[in-house]
Amino acid sequence: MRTIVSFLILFLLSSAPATAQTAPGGGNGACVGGEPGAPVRIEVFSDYQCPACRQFYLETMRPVLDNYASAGKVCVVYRELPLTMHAHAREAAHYAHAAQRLGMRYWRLVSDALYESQSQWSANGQLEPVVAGALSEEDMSRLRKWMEDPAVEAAILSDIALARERNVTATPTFFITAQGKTEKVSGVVQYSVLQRYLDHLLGQ
Amino acid sequence: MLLRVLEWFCRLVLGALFFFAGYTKLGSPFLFEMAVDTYQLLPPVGVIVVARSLPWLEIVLGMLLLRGWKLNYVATFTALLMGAFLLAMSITYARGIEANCGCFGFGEPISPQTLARDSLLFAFAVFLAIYAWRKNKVPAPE
Repeated sequence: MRTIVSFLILFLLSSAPATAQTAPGGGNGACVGGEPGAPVRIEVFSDYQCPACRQFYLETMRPVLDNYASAGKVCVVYRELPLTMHAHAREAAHYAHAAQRLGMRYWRLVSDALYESQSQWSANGQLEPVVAGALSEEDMSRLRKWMEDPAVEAAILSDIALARERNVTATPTFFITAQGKTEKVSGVVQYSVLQRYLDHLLGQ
Repeated sequence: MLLRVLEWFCRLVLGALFFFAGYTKLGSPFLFEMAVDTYQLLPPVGVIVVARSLPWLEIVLGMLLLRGWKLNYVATFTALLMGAFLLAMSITYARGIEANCGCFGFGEPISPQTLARDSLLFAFAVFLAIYAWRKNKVPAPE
């Protein structure tokens, strides 16, 4: 019996210490916050109509954007994964992606508005007034032009395909890439818990 | 004879799995903190305490199960711990929360499969505890 126990312990100790699931890094998503060369990259697959995504964006990712991305420590990429069970998620994704084409400042304004008023537009399907409330009239008319651009739909389809490729089955799911290694996490993580990991990765 | 074989089987399976589960978590403590946090059951301090202590507890339990030392107590504690895992997973799944199981590594969401697997392990632990207590029972004087 002792021999078996010793063998098991030796076998496990001799294997690689980190057995966390790794996923391929890369992708062509632009940083909605931070710079592409940042030491840490967080790629979030999200659905604007999903309540957990709302919580994750407002309580976790917004502070990450403010405290880490603006300081150039983290590049945050948001990818669209509108779930079919959410009737207005696809349209919301269009608004957000079109806003990205105007600039990341606009993406932030539109995302803030969409997530903050999620319950309202989820119930009545009226997205345009919510988005218009976050932008000036001039910016809104520019956004409408982008909404008609097939490149926006193509980008959303590309994000959905990438989600399938990476076996993302739920939202929010995010990938943290640092030091050449990518880790996958599904679900909502509190800011203070994510912050500990980011500080560890950044060597603080 | 069959019960004795079953006792050995449960003890070795549970012991090896507990040891392995604890070992994988120790390799990535921050990822395990995030996995515990996705259950949305604890405040940040509670998440950190659980995530930092649970892997060591699993390793110690795994070694004790493999060694078979004080099996009645160890198996009972294992059954209680497995029951607590199962309860936390079931509550989280029933609430419709997307969470990482965090059972044997990371990136595995809680699903009917993970619940079924942990239920089976819970059954092993309960059997082991009952069997060990029965075996240890001192016959009453006549």
